Amino acid sequence: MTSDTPLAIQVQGVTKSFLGQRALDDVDFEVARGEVHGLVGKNGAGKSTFMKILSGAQPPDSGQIIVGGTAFKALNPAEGRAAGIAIVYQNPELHLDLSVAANIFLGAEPRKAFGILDDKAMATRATELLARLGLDLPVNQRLGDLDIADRQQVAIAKAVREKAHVLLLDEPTAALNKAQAEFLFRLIRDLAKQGMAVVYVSHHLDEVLAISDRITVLRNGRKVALVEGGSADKDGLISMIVGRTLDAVETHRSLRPKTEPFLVMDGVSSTGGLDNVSLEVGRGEIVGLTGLIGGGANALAAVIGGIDHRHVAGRMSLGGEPYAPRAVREAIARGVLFIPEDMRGRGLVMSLSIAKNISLAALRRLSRLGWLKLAQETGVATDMSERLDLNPRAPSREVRFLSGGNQRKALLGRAIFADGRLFVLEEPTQGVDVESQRQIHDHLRSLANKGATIVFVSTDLEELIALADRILVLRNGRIEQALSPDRLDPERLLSAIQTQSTRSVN
Amino acid sequence: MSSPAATAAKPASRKPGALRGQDLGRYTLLIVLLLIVVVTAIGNPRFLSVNNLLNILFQVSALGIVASGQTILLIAGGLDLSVGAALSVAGLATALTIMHTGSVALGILAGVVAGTVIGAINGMLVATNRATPFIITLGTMTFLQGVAILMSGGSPINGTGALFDVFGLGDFLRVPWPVYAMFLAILVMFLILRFTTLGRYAFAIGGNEEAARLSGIPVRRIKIALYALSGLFVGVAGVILTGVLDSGLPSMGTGYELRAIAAVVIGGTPLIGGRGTVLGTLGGVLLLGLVSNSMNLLGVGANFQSAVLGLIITAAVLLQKKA
Amino acid sequence: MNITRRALAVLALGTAILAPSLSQAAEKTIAFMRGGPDPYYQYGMNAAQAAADKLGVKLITYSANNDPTQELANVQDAITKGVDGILIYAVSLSSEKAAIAQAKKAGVPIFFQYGYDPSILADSAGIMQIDLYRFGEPVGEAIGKLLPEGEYATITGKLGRGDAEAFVQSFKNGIAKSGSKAVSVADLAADWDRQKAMDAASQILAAHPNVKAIYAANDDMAVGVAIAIERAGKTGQILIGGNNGAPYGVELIEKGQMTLTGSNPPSIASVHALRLLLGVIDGSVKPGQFYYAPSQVITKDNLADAAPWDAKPEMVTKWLEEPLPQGAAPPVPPTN
Repeated sequence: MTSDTPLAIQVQGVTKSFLGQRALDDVDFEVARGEVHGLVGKNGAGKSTFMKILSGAQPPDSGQIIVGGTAFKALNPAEGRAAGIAIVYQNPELHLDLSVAANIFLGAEPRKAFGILDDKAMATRATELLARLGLDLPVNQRLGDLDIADRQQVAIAKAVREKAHVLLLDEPTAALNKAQAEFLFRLIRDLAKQGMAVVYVSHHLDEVLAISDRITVLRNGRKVALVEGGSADKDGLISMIVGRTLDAVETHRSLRPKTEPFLVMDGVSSTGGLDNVSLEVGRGEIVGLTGLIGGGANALAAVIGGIDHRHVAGRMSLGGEPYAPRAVREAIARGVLFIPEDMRGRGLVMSLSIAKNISLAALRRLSRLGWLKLAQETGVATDMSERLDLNPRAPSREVRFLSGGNQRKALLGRAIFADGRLFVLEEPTQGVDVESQRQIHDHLRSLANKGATIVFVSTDLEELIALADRILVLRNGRIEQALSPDRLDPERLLSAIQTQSTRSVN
Repeated sequence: MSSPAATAAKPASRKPGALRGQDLGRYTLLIVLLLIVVVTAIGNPRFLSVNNLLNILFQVSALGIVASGQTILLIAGGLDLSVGAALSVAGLATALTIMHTGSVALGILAGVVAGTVIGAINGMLVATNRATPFIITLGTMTFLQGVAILMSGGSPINGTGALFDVFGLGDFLRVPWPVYAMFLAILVMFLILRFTTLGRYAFAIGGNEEAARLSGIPVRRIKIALYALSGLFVGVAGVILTGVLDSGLPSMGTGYELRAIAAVVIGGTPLIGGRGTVLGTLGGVLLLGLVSNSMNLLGVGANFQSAVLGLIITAAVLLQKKA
Repeated sequence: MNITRRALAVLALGTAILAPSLSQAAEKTIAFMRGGPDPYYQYGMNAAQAAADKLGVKLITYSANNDPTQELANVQDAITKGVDGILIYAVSLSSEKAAIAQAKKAGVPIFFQYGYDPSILADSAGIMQIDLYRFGEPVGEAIGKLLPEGEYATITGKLGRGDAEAFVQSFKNGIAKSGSKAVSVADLAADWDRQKAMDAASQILAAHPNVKAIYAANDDMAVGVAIAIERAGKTGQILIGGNNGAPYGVELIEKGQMTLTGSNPPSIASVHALRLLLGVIDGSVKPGQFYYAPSQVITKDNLADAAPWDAKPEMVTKWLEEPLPQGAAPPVPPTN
């Protein structure tokens, strides 16, 4: 907390390049024992490279890492673990088929005579360990049956069991809801009180500000700032991350004229979780769907997007014509483009290039009698890259080399190229750096201004307020509230989501 | 838009190490091929004669055609184990038609149609069932083996007339017709893969089937089409092989399925799909033919040949770097 | 009186009803088993069927699909059905041993075609086989006389069972016996397969342009060899010696592409084997004997006398009238 406390880990002058490109440039970094140290920066600033070097997954080109009194020119993961460094990823790398206790004690299982595993002792010790951390998990439960928040706790418990004294957390709240995130923060604070040094990497600046004792800002591979958590403010952080001052968040809730309804849903229920949903969305309108996980926001998006055709009751219409897609391509034919949250799993074909991903939903436009016009496809990709500021400007580059923000832009490009008139997006800017987030929001607004309709699901409160014309809160498969973003701040939106209300807050 | 951001974005977005690995994989095949050529040529100089090289191409022609068809299936994340048995059925259909009608043209039509229909049926089974293509086509393979025996009554159906004259004995500029057919098949598949929507859909489905579905690609229909396309190639191969052997035999396709898949995989198309090259398949086919030929020319005993072939295939696959 | 007459009537009626089934029970049932779908066995089965019809014997057929386990199941099934005898082309020696153990326990005579092993001879109804160790000799001698010196090559079948090796060796013995100084420049194996033999022959011709004769250990492979020679434009310049006398092999001889083959037609062999088995069943033939299967060397000159594989019923009738083969001493491997 102060410079008197001995350091848990210290990094001096670390530099790393990939094929001549500097990813990290002479970075100094330190975390004291019992300190929670936040690490922020946009995509490409070097955060993930830095984490890899800290954990031993990559060696630095120069510089050293001092941990446990020893200076290392390079670490490998085994040495890192031995030195007490543990890293927990968004999706923790655990064995889903083993039990909680087995995961915690993996590699150090208590044994009886002749080397036979002592499951009972393992379960007991696991329960004790979890209790010390204030956690309560069923130790003999198969890990794969638990949700991601619980799995994360198991990963942290495992790190504690391994006698880690430096805990690296990489976007830990990405898959958590608010309540789970709060629980995690309590756990982190407890661990810090017990002497653990925690490095907390996240895009959620509010979280970082709330939990960190100190914050390091990386930009373009360099450390540009080290601030005290107490005296930092969000706008100041943003400026340091982006490198220029940003204007206050625009609330261009223009003066988009009230238009006739484009999407109309009437009493729609579905086996996917919708219960008698009725709504109208106008042309050029941006509607945000939110709620607690499982509340129905994702289910509603899936039904609108034509992904889930299991609706059992009710009617939908699009532009006055009945809309009841039985397959995704029918939805696409009507101009409804669904952009999933899980880009790598459901959205992009990682082995294909940028150009080939962009054209994928409307290949017919680039082909004649089945024959592809490849030059035209490249042209389309180049134009789209320009328009959306997709980096790198290399249409033949495989999308798996792109950063998260650029991957999302590529998906958006696909939807735009497919003549989308109604865009349905899940978490449009999750895992995306500040600048790309801003760009994506701008693109969505300009699409709406040109007459497209946007429906998006989000749990990012600031995003909902900044982007949506209307916010619909779903709970138990029904639309509970319809909120206007005017004079709405994240706290009030959050409480609206958390509590039941029969009146819309306006 | 802002240059500092663009420069900073580059290191994270480029992963050159992986790119190099892929190139190395492609060169591995060439290196192995060259090694075999050198060793064999030293052991028996006749190996490098035009005659022998043409022989090698001739001997792998049918395999090359089948492997071309199999390539697009693997790219799409599937595979068809029944192509060997289907080859026999198509060949027998050709031979029987010629025997009963005396018309070579009808025989060719029968063989090609048989192969395509079998492929389409396989495609329908694969597209509508959750079981893996491996299991499904294993079943159809067994079924087709029985069909082949029934069709032939157990014995060879001899005599294909003009078909034998063209494919068995005929050549153009010293190159036998089956070799031209193989190169044509490779070319057609190359064009399909690179320049057609069908080929593009195959890559998409193999790379990420869910993403393909969400992009509106009619996945089921495309899968059926792909298996039917592969079946078409198998039918053509069956017709040609029947001509080469001047007979239809129930066992003529035995082993083709494994050798075809081996050739595709050696050529650099991974079993998981999403990427692949039919030119690589050609390389794999040539490797198999080369190895077999060189072992015979060097007088390697028959007992050794299977073991050596297996070792070379394993080595070639292991040396491929996974992208 | 009344009761006696009624009793007599019942007896007469009963006899009338039972008699047909009794006489039917007198009809013998033989199980004919073949190792797999190979056409060789098919021809044998057809001939046996025709002979059985003529003799008033019922034939039940089984195939083992090259699976020894299946074969054993077939044997058990036949025994359960109550057959009077089993005539079998076995898949392998091990299934033979298992089969004979079963049959012996049930007291069912079992006759083996083509699968001789000294350990099973005594318990069997009989074993009929060609002399593997000398079968290729006549072919070797004939070729040797036509090729007093120079190069030849051999292509044999699937190694490991013993017959492929024996055929080639006997051919080479024949060459030596003829006084020829010809040497073998290549000995390849092509798994009894036409396609593989064609490739192998092409290889041989490319590597050894001076080869003047090729021996194929079965006629299916001989056809492949002939095609390879035709493709190389050397028809008539290279002698082919074949083995087993299949219809397509005989055709090659007719066309002049093959010089000769050692034929062992499954048709006539199965007919005689069936007769011998029936003889064992009714006690007229001593069990446990070895018989040499009828074989002949077929050349262009004696095509008319060749016993066809695809036997017509008239042919079968003729064979039924021939004298039964006599038991003989089983063959021993030559000591060279």
